Amino acid sequence: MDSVWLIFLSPAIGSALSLILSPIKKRRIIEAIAVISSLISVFTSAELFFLRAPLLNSPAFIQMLSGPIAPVLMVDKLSALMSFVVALVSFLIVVYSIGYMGEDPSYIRYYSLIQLFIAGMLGLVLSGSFLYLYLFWEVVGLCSCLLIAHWYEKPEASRAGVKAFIVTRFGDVMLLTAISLIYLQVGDLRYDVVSLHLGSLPSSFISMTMLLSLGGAFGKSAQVPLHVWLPDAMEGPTSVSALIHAATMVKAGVYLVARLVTLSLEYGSVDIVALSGFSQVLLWIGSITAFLAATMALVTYDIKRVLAYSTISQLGYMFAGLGAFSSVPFSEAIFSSMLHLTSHAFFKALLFMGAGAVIHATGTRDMREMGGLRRSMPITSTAFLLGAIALSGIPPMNGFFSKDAIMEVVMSASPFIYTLLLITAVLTPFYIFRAVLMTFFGEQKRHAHEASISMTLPMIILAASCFITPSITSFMLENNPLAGFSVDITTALFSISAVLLSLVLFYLSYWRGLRLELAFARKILEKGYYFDDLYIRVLMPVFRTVMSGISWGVDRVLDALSYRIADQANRFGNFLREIHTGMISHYVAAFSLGLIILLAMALGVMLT
Amino acid sequence: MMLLVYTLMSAVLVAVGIFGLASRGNAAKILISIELLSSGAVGLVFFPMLAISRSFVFSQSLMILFLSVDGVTLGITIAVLLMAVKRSETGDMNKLNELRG
Amino acid sequence: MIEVVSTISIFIIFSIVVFFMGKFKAGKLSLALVSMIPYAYSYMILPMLWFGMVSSKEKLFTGDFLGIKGFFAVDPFSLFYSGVTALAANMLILHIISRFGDREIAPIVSSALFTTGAVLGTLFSHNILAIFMFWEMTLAGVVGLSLCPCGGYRKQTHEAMMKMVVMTSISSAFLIAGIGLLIASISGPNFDLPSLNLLSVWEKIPEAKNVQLLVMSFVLIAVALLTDAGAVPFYMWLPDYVSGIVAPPVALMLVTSDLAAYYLLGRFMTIFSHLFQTVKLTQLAIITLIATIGIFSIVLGELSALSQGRVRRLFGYSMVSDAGYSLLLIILYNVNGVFLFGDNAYMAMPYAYFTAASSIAIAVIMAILGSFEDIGVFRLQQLQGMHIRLPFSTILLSISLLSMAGIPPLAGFVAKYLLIFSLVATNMPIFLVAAFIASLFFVVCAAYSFRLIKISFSPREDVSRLEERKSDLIPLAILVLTLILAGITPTPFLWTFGR
Repeated sequence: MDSVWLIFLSPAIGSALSLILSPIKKRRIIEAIAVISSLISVFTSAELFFLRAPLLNSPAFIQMLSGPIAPVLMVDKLSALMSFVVALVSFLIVVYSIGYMGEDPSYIRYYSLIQLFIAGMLGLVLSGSFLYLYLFWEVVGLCSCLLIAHWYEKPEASRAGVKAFIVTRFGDVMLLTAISLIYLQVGDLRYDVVSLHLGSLPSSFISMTMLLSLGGAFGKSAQVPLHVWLPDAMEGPTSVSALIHAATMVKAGVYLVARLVTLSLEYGSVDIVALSGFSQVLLWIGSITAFLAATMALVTYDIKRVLAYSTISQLGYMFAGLGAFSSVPFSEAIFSSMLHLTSHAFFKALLFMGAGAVIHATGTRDMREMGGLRRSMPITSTAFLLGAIALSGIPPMNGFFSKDAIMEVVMSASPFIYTLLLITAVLTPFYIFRAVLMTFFGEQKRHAHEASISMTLPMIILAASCFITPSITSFMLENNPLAGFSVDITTALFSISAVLLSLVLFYLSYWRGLRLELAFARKILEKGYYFDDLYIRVLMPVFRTVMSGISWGVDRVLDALSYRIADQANRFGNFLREIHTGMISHYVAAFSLGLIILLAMALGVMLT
Repeated sequence: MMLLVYTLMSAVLVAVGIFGLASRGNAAKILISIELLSSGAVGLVFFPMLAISRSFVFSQSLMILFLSVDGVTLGITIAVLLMAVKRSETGDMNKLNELRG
Repeated sequence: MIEVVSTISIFIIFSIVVFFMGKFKAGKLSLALVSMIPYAYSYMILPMLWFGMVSSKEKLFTGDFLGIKGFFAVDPFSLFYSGVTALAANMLILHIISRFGDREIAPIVSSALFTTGAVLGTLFSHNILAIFMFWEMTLAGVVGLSLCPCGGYRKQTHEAMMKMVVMTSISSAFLIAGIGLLIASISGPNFDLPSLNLLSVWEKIPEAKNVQLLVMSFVLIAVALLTDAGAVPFYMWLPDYVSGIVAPPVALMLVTSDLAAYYLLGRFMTIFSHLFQTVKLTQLAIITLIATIGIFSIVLGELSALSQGRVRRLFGYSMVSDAGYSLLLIILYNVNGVFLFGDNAYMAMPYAYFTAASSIAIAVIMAILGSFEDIGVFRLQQLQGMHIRLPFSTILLSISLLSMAGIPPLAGFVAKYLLIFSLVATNMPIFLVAAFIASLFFVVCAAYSFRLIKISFSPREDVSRLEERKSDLIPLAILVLTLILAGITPTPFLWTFGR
């Protein structure tokens, strides 16, 4: 068996093993299993990444058994990159969990679900057929929802888990529709077969299918309007947030879009004009989401929510970058998006880990209760600061290079979108440094101590890797480790000026007390532009009314009908039983009646 | 001709037998009616057979066969009716109508 | 045909042997062994006959006996029924011996053996007179069977027996009349015994001069056989019989004389089929009449069963409706001008399958209801909580009920499916209407079957587990297993038809 299968099978086996070995109540063993299984993924994906994938010119398909529904993996540059990044970040988070979840009593459930999630995510990126893509998509969604509700005794946590599941469900249904349409038209779900046929399908069909699958991508990646689940998902453990909602699962949507673009444009021969609507939607939704999420991050006091909104916003960047494929060569669009994806995976995981360490130490998520933690948690604060610098897009961190790549392709696509993203780039440093200020500077309000080594070590590793992630990406995608560091002068200048503007505003607000009277805006932002209210106050009652109307109709009409019929049948049966009197002479009388009828018929026949 | 008349006579016998069974009466009446019925049936075998094949041997042997089967049936019927009469105290078979509905 | 003769005579001989064994107070085990011998012999003979049929590709074997040519005949239709009868009767006898072993059971075992032998005689006879004789033998055997006290009589046994005997005597009389008229109409100056074979009757019918006599004979034979099968309006004795007798003879009767009655219906009523094809008005009249009888039987049977409170009587009415469904198939064959014999026997497949499946299912149900009655369960409401008291019996009961309801993968589903399929495949409006009505009443059948299952599995507090002897249930389990197997893979069972 090819070692590629081990990439996602190893955590799957680890997950099952954790469950099987659960009667042994030894925490260390379960933790060891998780660490070993994710380490195996790292090694095998690294083997794939460093040794095999660079040699590929066209995608390799690895299949077990045969037939259209056999398990098949597709290995190309995109999937090799994604699997390596996912495996690496997952491993670091598993190590982090040892410290973060060190006292949690339900660790077996946690580790087994985490490993199942890792297996699902790796399977998703490696899958070579839409069937398995969807299968792993669902696995990942399920594990996410279950892990969000890990502390299900808290009602907010279980509610958040359910909300995540249902909101992503909308997206999943659209994705399923798209896959079914593909199956109906092409007859097979394997990537190679589909990309062969895609060129010959009518363009309206292609654009409709793509747009439908976008629904799935937006659900998983929390773009407007399906973004409402991600901030609430912060109720889960921070390591879960780091893994799922920063580094991996939310990237699945981006991966899906990238995969679709490669299938149609690179391996298939689809006309780019057919995909123009698709790219427009990507650009607009991506940039609008980026902007709105950044604004929402400005007013929240929960440290994890800041990071959640930030994730949504950065994902918007990635989608916008992808959406530029109709204006620039698609490989550039994909490259920019992937560059930002890898950078974001690392620094966002880093930021979440830092936040988790802070929460673990102080016991609260509210930044107003924290302060001055840089003295008691030096490693954490340094790491967090480095992550903040990366997020803001300040050189020489990776965020600068990746954002610049996206801005570069977006500018060729649409200047308006570029401006929107630029404004967002002003907001980004503002909200993140606000978080840094409130958490790590000022007076210490709560007692805290530095996090344990299992938590700080991954942070250090991530912080260090943040300097080199552009080369990882460009090594894979462009065969040139240094290509990731190239910048376009124009956009770089604009980006750096945006950052400087933001820092100036920041300084003015917090050191000089410059206050903009935007109290009205604050209410809107705090309510998340009323999206949640829309869903809960408007859509849900409508839905409930419709459903109760239908059930009333079923109750009154259909059920009553069937009861009536059954009742009549019973009554008629009782009536028929009256005929059966029990007296033998009546029996013979009935017999003779039948006899006479038959004889009459015979006579009738005889006379004709 | 005569054979047609005899055939009709047998049919009448059958009808009388049925009528006797269909009307109220006691076990003896039932027995007699069954016997009439069977005899009429045998008559319905014999006479048309004779009319068409004109072979005395065959029709007579058939008739004797059926009559003997009738006798056996009668024996069983008598046995069962005796048991039923004991059950019903009176001889009226119609009183036994517990199994109904 | 030495095999057929030997099989029948072995059964009869052994019935006498068992009777004497009863006189000498033989034990349970010896009775079981001795009663197994004829069945084991038939299990050897019947497959031998089948293999002979398959290998020689000839669908009809005839044999001589006592100098009469063509006394016995074996074709796939009778072979199928004989296999079903042998297996089911064997299992039921084992069940009875196991259940009542400490009481006087030699009479019932010997009657059962006798009846099985007589049924085999009916199935395998070719000569009309021979069929008639063996049929009367079967009826006599059933009477003897029903009068055996299996652990005491029920209160209404004599009443039920009286009704059955009276109605059966009437039907025998009409059968005599009908056969007589049939023979009369086809006979000519050169008439001898071999011309009474089914095949020659079939050939002679179109040449008969007197069509009126033929129609009359059809009517009389139909009346007689329909009384025995239980169609409206001749059915009235059947529910009484089924609820009045103790349960085991009813089960045995179902798999012996009821199957023989269906067999006779299949042969005798289709023997006229090419007559009805030639005279168009007759065909329409026949179809309409028998279809009406069939539909009335279905309606009356199912609806009376639905509202019935006594469980045994419910199944009596279910047998009535089964007769109705089978009648629908009979007119199908009449319309197509098919005589279900010899090479055409494969067309009898849906008919045979349907009757066999329903008979086995109801027989198993009857046997289990018998053991329920030992603990006083007679009515529907008293079935509540049976799964606590007699779990294995309830499970077997439920599987048989599911087969009756027509749930895959049981035999009942295949049977009902074949029924509807054959009716619809003709594309004639009257059959489509009949198929529609039949499937409508399948729902009713499913309704009361499910109701029974539901009530037996309802909870109840004041009952506890009772003892069930495994040896009672194993024969029934084997029959249920054949139901399941016949449902999952019907093709081996249908291979007996050589197709």
